Amino acid sequence: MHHHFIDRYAREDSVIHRLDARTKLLTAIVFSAYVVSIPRYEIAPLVPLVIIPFTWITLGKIPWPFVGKHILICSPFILTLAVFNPLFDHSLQHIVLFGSRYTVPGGFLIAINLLVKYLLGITCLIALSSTTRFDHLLLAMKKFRVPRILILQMYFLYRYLFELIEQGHEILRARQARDVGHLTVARRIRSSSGMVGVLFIRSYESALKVFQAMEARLYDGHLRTVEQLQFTRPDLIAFIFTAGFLFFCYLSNT
Amino acid sequence: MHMANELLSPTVAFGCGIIAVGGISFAAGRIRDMADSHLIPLMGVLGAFVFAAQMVNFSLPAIAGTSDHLIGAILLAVLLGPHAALITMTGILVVQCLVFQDGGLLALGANIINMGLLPAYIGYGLWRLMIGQGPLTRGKLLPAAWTAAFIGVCLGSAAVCVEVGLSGRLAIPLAKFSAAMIGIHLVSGAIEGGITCAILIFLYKLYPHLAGTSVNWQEKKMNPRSLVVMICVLAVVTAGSFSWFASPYADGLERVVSAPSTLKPKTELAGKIDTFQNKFTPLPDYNKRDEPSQKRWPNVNFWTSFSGLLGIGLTMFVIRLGAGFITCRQKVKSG
Repeated sequence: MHHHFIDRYAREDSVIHRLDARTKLLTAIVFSAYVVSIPRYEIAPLVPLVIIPFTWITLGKIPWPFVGKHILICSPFILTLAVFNPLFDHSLQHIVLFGSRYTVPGGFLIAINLLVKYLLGITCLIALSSTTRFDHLLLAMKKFRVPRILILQMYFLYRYLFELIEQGHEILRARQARDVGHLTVARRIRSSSGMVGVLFIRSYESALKVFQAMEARLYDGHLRTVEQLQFTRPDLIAFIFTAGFLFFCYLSNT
Repeated sequence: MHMANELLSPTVAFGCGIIAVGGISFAAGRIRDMADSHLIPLMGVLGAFVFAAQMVNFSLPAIAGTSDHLIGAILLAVLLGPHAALITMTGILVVQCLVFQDGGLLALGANIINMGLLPAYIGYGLWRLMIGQGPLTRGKLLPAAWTAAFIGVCLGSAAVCVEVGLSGRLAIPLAKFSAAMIGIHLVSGAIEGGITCAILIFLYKLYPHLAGTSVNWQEKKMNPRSLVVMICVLAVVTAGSFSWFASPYADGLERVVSAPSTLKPKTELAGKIDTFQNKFTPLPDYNKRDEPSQKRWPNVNFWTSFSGLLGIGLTMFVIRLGAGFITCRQKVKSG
């Protein structure tokens, strides 16, 4: 299954794309953990960390407008939370900027800290999802001993997801064609519940058909792929580089 | 309700992760026998369905400028059972995090607890309690599904507040954050209840044999042991964390009693009993001895949680002893 917007760049070829999915998943987890551990009034320790997602995205040849669009789509909740912080925290904090000492309200520092952490976290996730195919991620999870049933569930979810969205669009388009924008809100709500039900039954029936077809082809509940993950020398180099860089950042902060 | 990494401290994130992993392993163990059956495609398609439904944000009536989305855990729990529902919700949250960047990688554990573990198990328990035994009727289905979905969403939002409060990453006072968060989710829970009811009624009317595939609504009985576990979890969560949000001020009765000239002066015996009680109570006013009771809210305090948990344990022990004593007497009488 392939979708033109979601995993548009996951099937390209680059140094990062060729890395083992386990390396990328582990790097994303370690990186997120380090970013989250930075205290809430600190901003300087976050700045050098930009290098990791920047390198990942640049080497992975992911276009920056695509990254920017994704960041904007996911940002409303965190933006709202960040904006309210300066209103509540009026404690004064001292910061050193280009050698001069300034006193700024703590709320501003927290807001900037939240936003920078958000940017780092999300660019790392975008880099991960745009350079790794979803089935490779599932294989990596299998190697990390994630329960088989959970992996199968995610596999089926991903398999049906886009089909379901397309069916939903079809049903919506059909309603628009019939009401021509003249339906009252009450009738629209009433018809929506029916539409959701129809969508569910359609997808359930198609899921059963797919499953019967799979059973006819001797499916036995195990996920088997021709491709296998391989931890090679570039993986080792990438992991050592990231871990070393984070350790260096940690030492320079303490 | 998807939380981002930035809202959690590493300790809280890892703690939640461990609880979530425990829950998932338990659920995976319980449905292992069904793994090769028709439950898997149903889990997949329902997962995709809830996933798509979560992408549709509805704006909340009466609260301008806010929107929320369906969570769907109760719908899954009713159709698949709580264990498969937890696995399905986990799948949805992992895909949302890894593919759509909705919710942080480290906050995954917390998100699984808030949107999977709590609504699936506690909401499902409520649903089973409310539909009772016997054939499922429309009159039973509607209130049971609505209440379960409403309580499930509210519990999840309260858990978000507890996690954010424990992490201490925001400058916004926890009381204000909780009021906004829970307030919004009261409305959103009501809407979620409505949507869940609409879908279930639709299936009940048009597709009743769905009930015969993996879920047997009519014949399934609530396991008494799981009911006990569910009530224990609800009690522990309430005592351990919600007690922080209890108002520090006197309740109605206390306020009336403490007003001057409401009561006659105490008799000598009552005075002596009070002094004795004050002297030997181990955790007076749910707090450590000699520690002044604080008027701040929420009162995040280990001793408040500890008192609540100890209280539950002792109450259950006393009830068990009492029940044992009564049954023993009945046996003696009848024997």
